Amino acid sequence: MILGGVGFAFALTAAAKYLGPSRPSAAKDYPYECGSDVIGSPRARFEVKFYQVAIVFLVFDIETAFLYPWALKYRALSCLGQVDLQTRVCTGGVSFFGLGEILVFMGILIVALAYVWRKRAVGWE
Amino acid sequence: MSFDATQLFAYAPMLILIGMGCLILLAETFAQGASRAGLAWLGIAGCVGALIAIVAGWAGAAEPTTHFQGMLVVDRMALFLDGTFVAAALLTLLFAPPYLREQGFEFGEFYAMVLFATAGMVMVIHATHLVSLLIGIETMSLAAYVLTGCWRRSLRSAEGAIKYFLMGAFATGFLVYGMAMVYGTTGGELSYAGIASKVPQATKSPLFYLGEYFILVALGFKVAAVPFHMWAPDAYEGAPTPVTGFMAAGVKAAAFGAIVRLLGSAFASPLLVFDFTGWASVLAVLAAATMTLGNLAAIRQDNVKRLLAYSSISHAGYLLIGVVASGLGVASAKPAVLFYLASYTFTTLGAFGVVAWIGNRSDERLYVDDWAGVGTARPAVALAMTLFLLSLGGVPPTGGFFGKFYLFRAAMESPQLHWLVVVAVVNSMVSVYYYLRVVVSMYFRDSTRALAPTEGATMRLGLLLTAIAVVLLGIFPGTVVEWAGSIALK
Repeated sequence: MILGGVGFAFALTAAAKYLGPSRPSAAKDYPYECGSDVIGSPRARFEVKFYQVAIVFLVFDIETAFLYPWALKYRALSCLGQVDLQTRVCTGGVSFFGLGEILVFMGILIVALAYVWRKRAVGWE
Repeated sequence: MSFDATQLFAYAPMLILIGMGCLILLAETFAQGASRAGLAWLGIAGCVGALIAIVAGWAGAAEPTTHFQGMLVVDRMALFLDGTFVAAALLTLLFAPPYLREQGFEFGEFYAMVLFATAGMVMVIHATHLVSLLIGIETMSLAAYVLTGCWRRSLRSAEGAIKYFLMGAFATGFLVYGMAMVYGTTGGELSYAGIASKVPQATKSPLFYLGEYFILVALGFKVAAVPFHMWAPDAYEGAPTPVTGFMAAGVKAAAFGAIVRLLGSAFASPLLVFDFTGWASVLAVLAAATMTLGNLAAIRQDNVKRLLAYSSISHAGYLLIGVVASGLGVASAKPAVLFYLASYTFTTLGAFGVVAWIGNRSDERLYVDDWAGVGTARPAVALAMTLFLLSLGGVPPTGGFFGKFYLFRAAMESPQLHWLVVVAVVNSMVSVYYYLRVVVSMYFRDSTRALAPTEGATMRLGLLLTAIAVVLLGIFPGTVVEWAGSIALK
C-alpha cells in the first residue's frame, strides 16, 4: 500500500517532468508570481520604532491575557471559605487577596506605562 | 484560597529592591538632562534597606520555612547569599557612577537594572520549585544582558551583550526542556521536595537523567563552567567594567547557590549522586577541566579584563569541587562553598573596581603593560589591587586564602576527591603567576605615560570597603563560616 502510494506520487511527478512541454521564460523564472516588481533587497534595515512598538505592545498584550484567568477565578480568590459550585455563593468571609493581587500587578504595569510615556516611546514621532 | 500577607515580610529584601528599582525608573523619566547622581543614591538606599531587612530576618530564619505553596523558602543559606548579592549590588552602585559619567552613558536605568538583577538573584536563591527558579534566573539574566549592552557607543559592549544574550537564551531553553522532562518522568512534580520523593520511580526512565543533566547544563552556562564558558570572556570584556564585576560575582554566586540547593534537595538521592554517570563524577571532571582551562587561558592574556574573566572561569572550577564534596556527604563542604562565594564576590568586585578606576574616556588602560608605575603614582590603589590579586590567588592574609583552605579541606575528607584537590592546588599555584604579572607591572616597572584615572569619591569608598572586607574575611574567617555553617547542619 505504502509502496503503491509513494510510487504513484513519483510516477505523477516523473510524468509531469518528462511528458509535459517545457517552455521557460524570464517571467516564469521570476521569484514572485503576484506581478509586482522587486524594489530592493529584503534585508533592509527597519526603523527601531517598530521594535519599540512591538515591545510595548507585548507588555500590555500579556497584561490583558492575564486579566482573563484572573476574572474567571475572581470569585474564588475573594472568598475565604469555599465557593458552592451550585449556587456560586461564597461561604466564609470576603478576602481582598484577588483584588490586591491584581492591583499590585496593574501597579507594576502602570509604572511601565508611565516610564514609556515619559520617555516618549508611545508616540510614533 | 489561603494567603497570608505576613508571608511577604519574609521577602522584604526582594520587595525593597524591586520597589526601589521601579522608583528609580520613574525618577529617571523626570530627571531629563540633569545629573543622575541622585538616582545612584536612591539605589544605594535600596540596597541598605534590603541589607537591614536581611539582618532583621536572620534570627527568624534558623529553621527553614517555605512559603507560597512550596515555591520559595527562607533559610540561613538564602539569607547569607542574599547579603552577599545585596552587598555586591551596593558596591557596584558605588563603582558605577563615576565610571558612567566618565564614559558618558549615565542613565538611571542602569541603577534600576542592577537592583532588578539583584532581586532576581535573591529569588534564585530562595527558590524551592523549578518554576520560581526559572523566573528568578530570567529576571537576573535579562537585567544582566541589558547591563552588558548598555554602553551604547561601544561595539564591544554590543558584541558581548549579543553573545551573552544568545548563549543565555540557549541555556534557558535547556533549563525549560529539562524541567519538562523532569515533570513528565516524575508524574508532574516540579518542587524540589516533590522531585526528591519521586526519584526512585522516575529513574526508571532515561528521560529523567536527561532532564536532570539539561538543568545542570543550563546552570553550568550561568556559572561559566567548561565546556559552557565560551560566552564569558567576550561578555566580560565587552561589558562596562563595574558590570563585569557584578556579573562575575553576583550572577555566578546566584547560579552556584541554585546548584547547591538543587543538588542538595531535588537531586540529592544516592541513586543520582554516585555511580559512574552520577552527577558527582560528572561534575568532578568538569571541575578539573574548568580550573585547568580557565587558568591556562588566563596565562596567555595581556588584557587585564580578559585575564580576570578567565580567572573567574577557573574559580567556578574550584567552587564545583565544593559542590561535589557536598554531594559525597562532606558536611563542611556547603559552608565552605558559601564562604568561598562571599570572599570571591568581594575580591572580584574590588579587582574590577580597580580596572574601572584606572582608565578614562580616551584611554582604557586595559593591558598589563599599561599598569606600569601605578605602584609609585598611586600607592593606595596599587596596594588594594595587590590585595585583591593575592586573594584571588589564595595567598594568606586574605579571604581568598581561607576560601580555598576550607574548600580543599572539605574535599580532602572524601577519599575519591584527593586527585581533584591535587589538580586544584597545582592550578592555584599556576594562577599566582598571572596574578603576580599585574603586581610586577605595577611596582617594578616605570610608567610610560601619565596616569589619569577616573576619580570619584564613591569609587574610592567602594575600593576601601572591598579591601576592608577582603582583609576582614582573612582575619575573621571563623565568624563568617559560622554564619554560613548554621546552614549546612540543617
